Amino acid sequence: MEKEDARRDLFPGALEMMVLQTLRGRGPLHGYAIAQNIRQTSGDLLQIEEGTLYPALQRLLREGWVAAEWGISARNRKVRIYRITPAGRKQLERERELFENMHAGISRVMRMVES
Amino acid sequence: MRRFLQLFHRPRLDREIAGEIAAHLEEKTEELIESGMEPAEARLAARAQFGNSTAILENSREMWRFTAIETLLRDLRIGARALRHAPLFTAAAAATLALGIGANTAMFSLIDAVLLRPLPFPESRRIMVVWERPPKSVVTASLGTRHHQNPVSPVNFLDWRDRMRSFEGIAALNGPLVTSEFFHVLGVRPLLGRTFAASECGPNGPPVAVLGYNLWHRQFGGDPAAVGRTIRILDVPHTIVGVMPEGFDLPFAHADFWIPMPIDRAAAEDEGRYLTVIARLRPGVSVARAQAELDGVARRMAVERPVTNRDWGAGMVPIDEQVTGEVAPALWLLFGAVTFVLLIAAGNVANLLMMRGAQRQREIALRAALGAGRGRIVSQLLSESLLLSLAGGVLGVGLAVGGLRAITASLPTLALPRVENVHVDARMLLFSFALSLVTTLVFGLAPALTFARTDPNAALKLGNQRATGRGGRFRALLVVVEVALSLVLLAGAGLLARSFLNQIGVSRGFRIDRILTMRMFFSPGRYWDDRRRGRYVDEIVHRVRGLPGVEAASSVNLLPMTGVVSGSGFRRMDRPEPAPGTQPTADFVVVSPQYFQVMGIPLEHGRDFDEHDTMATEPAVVVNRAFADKFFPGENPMGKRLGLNWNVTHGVIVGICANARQTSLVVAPQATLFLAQAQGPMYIGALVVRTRLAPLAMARAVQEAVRTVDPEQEISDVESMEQVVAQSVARPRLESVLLAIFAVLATVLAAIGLYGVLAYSVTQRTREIGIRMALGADRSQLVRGVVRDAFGLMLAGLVAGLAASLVLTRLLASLLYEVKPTDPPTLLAVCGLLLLVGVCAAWIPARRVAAVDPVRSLRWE
Repeated sequence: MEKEDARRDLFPGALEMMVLQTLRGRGPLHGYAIAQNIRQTSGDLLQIEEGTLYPALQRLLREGWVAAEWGISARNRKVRIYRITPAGRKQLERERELFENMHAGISRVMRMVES
Repeated sequence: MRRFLQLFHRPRLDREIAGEIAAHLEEKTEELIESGMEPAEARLAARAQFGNSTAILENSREMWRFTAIETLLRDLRIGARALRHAPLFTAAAAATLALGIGANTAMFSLIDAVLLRPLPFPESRRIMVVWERPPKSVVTASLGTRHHQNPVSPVNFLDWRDRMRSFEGIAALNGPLVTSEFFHVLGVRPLLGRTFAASECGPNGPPVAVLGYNLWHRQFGGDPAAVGRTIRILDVPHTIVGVMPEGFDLPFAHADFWIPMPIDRAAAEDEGRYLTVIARLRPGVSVARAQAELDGVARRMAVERPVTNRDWGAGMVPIDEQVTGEVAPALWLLFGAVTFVLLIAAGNVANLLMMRGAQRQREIALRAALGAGRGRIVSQLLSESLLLSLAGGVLGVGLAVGGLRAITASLPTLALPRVENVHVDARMLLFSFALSLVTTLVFGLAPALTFARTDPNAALKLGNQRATGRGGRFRALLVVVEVALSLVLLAGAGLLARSFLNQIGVSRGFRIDRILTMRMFFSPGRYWDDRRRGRYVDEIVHRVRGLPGVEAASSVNLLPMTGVVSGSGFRRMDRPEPAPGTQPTADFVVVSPQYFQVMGIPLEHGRDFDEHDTMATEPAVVVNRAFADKFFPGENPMGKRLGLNWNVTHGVIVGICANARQTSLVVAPQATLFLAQAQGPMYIGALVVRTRLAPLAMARAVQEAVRTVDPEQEISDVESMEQVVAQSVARPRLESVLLAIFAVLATVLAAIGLYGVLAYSVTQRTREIGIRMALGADRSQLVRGVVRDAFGLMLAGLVAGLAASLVLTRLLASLLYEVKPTDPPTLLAVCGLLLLVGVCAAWIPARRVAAVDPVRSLRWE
C-alpha cells in the first residue's frame, strides 16, 4: 500500500522548483548532491523522501528544463550530472513569480487579526 | 517527440535511472559510515531515507507519458498469462459473455437496419404520409391497428394540393402510378436520365416510365443505354426516361417502376378512396403546425362536400414512423430483453471473478506487499476482465452473424420492413466492441475493487486457509438479481407464447388444409372489358376444376389472412335512404362459385353463386352471419335487396354463410357481403384450389392450366393456405420465439449462477461440514441447510422478479392477443418453472454435502 500522507507538506511542483533553483545557484550537480543541497539549505526544515527526487528529475528532463550527462562524482562514482537549460531558467522565473504571489496571499490570510 | 523516442529506449532509460538510484544509495551509505555508523545499519538507513526504490523507479518511468499504453500492454500480457493458466474459468467466462454480447449485437443490427438508419431520402424527417381519417361509425376492426389511416380520394388529394401551405410538395400514388411531384417530394434525383416532366403527367400524356434500379438490372443488365428505349407495361410500350438509384423504394408501397398518373378532377368526382399520399413539409414547419392546417382544410372540405366527407378528417405521420411504427415497440422490447440477458451473463462472470479472486487473494496480497498501488492492482484485474469480454465479443459477433442469418432466412419478406438492410458492418462491430468495454466495467469493476482492498498482512497471515466471506453477500445479491431478471423474461416469453397460441388457436371459421393458392393480376391491356375479364377468370377456374386431384376451385379478389380487405358502403333498399355520410359499411369480398366449398365455410341458408349468376341476371349477394345479425336483427335477410357503393350498384341476398375470419387471425369476423366475380369482376384475384392430396404437389399442374387460357398471365405467391396463415403470424411468432430463446438463455445462466454460488460455499465449508458431522450432526439436516440457502435466494429473486414483471409486462400489452399482461396462470407457471430449475441447480451441491466424508474433510488442506 502506498503511503500518500508522508509527502503532504509540499505543494505540487515545489520540488521541481527547488531543484531548478539549486541547479541555477550551484551549477551542474548529480542527484544525491541536489538532495543534500536542498536539505542543508532548508536547514533540515523540509523532510523530503530522497527517492521522490528522481521522478521530479525525469519530469524536468521530459519538459526540457534540465539536461543531463554522465560524469564522475566527488566520490569517484559514475553519476548523472544535471544542469539547468535556458528554458529551465525561464520556467523557474515563472514558477518563482507564481510562488511568491501565492506565498504573499497565504501570508496575508494567516496574518489576519482574529476577531 | 522526446517522449515518443523514449518509448523505444525503455530498457536504457530503466538502466539509467536504476544506476542513478544505486549511486545515490551508495554515496549516502558511504557518508553515513564516515559519520560513524555500522555499515549494515548505514545501508538500512540510506534505504529508509530514500523510500521504496521500486516504486520510485516506476514513478520515474511513468513521467514519460506513453507509459499509460505500456502499462496497459503489460497488464494485458500478464492478464493473458493468468487466463491461460485457468483455461476452464476462461472458457466458461468467455462463453457466457459471448452469449450475452452476441444476443445484443444481433438485436442491435436488427434495430439499426430497421429503425435507426434513416430512409434513403434527403431530410426524410420532413416527409409525411397523409391519410384520411374515417368517422368512428365507419371504423371496423378489419382495418386493424391502422384504422385511422384510410387511403385518400383523388378529389380530396387535389384539394389538399391546392390549399395546404405547409407542404412544399405533395404527391399521390397508386401502385406504380404516381403524380408529377412524387420524386420531388422524396427528394431523390434519378441515377440516369430524368423523372417526369409536368407535360407528361397531364391527361393523354405520352406513355413514359422511370425504372427502379433492380428492374433496370434485371431487364437491361444495368445498361445506361436503357434510357430512351421502351418497355412493355400492361401491354403498352412505355419510353424509359430515367432510372432511379439503388435502394429507392417506399417500403409501404413497393414498386419496380413508376408511370405518371393524371388525375382529372371532373372524372374523379365519384371515385372512392384508394390513393396513398406523401408530402414534404416546408423547412421550419413543424408536424403539429402542418397538422393544424390540415385539420382546418379537412373541416372546410367536409362542409363543401358532405356526401363524401362528412365527419371525415385527415392526419399525417412521419414517413419513418409509417414504415416501422408497427414493429418498433416489439424490437425495442426484445432489445430490452437481451440487455437483461447480458446483465445476467455479466453477473455470472462477476461471480466467477469473485470466486477466483477469493482464491487469488494471496497472489494479490503479495503484489501489494511488493509495492503495487491499489490503482495498479485494479487496472491489472480489469485488464483480465477486458481480455475476457473482448474474447466474448469476438465469439459473440460470430453468434450474432449466425443468428441474424437464421432470423432473416426464416422471415417472409413483408413481416419485418427493411430487414434486407441487415448485414455485418462497421457499426455492428463498433457496437459490440463498445459493448465489450462497457461489459468489462459492469462485471469487472466490483470484484477488482473488492480485491484491491485486500490487506496484505491479513491475507498473507491466513496462510493456506482461504479468506472466506469476502464478497459472499455480493455474490448472493447477484444471484437474486439474476433470478429476478430471468423471471421477468420468462413472464414476457410466457405471455407472448400464450398470445401466439391464442392467435393460431382462434376458430378461423375456414379450413386451411389441402388448399392451394396463387395470386394474379389481370392485365387491363388485354382484359379492359368487364365482361371479357369476368369470362376470363371463369375460364381459368373452370380449367382448374377439370384437373385430376382437384376437388373444387374458386377465385377471390383478396386472399384471406393477407392483412387486407376491401369494404364499402351499402343500404337496405326496403328502408328509406340514409342521410349522406351515415351509410352503414361492410367488408366486400368478390368470389367465384365454390368459394365456400373450397374454404370449408358452411352455407347456413340459401345457395352458393353458380354459373347462372351473370351480367345478364340480377346481381346475387351472399352475406355472412355477422352481417345478417347486425343489419337484419330478428328478420330473415333472404331475398332482401341492397344498394351498393361498388362496381355492382345493387344486389339481392341469395344465401347466408357462417362467419369466417378474413383480414387476419386476430381480427374477429366482420359483417361481410360476398359478390359474384362474374357480375363484378376485379383486376386482382387469387386462385383458391381444394386438392385431394398435398396442395403444393398440384402447383405446377394448376399453373399450367392457367397458362393454357393465357400464356402471358403472371402468377405470383404460389402457396398453400397453411403457408399463407403461417406468414400472417410470422412476426408474432418471431417475437415470441426470440423472447423465448432469450428467456431460456437467461434462466440457464441464472441457474448456473445459483449453482456456482452454492457449490462454492459448499466447497469452502467442507471443513466446517466435516466437523459438524464428526460432532454428530444429522447429514440430512446439513443437506437441508444447502437447500434452504438455495430456496432463500430463489424466493428473494422470485419476489423481486414478480414485482418487476407486474410493472414491465405492461409494456407488452400492445403485442398481446387475448391475454392480460398480468395473466396469473402464466406468472404462476413461470415461477414454478424457475423454482424447478433452481431446485435442479441446488441438487448437485446438496448431494456433495451428503457425500462429505468427515475424516477426509478434516485432513483437507
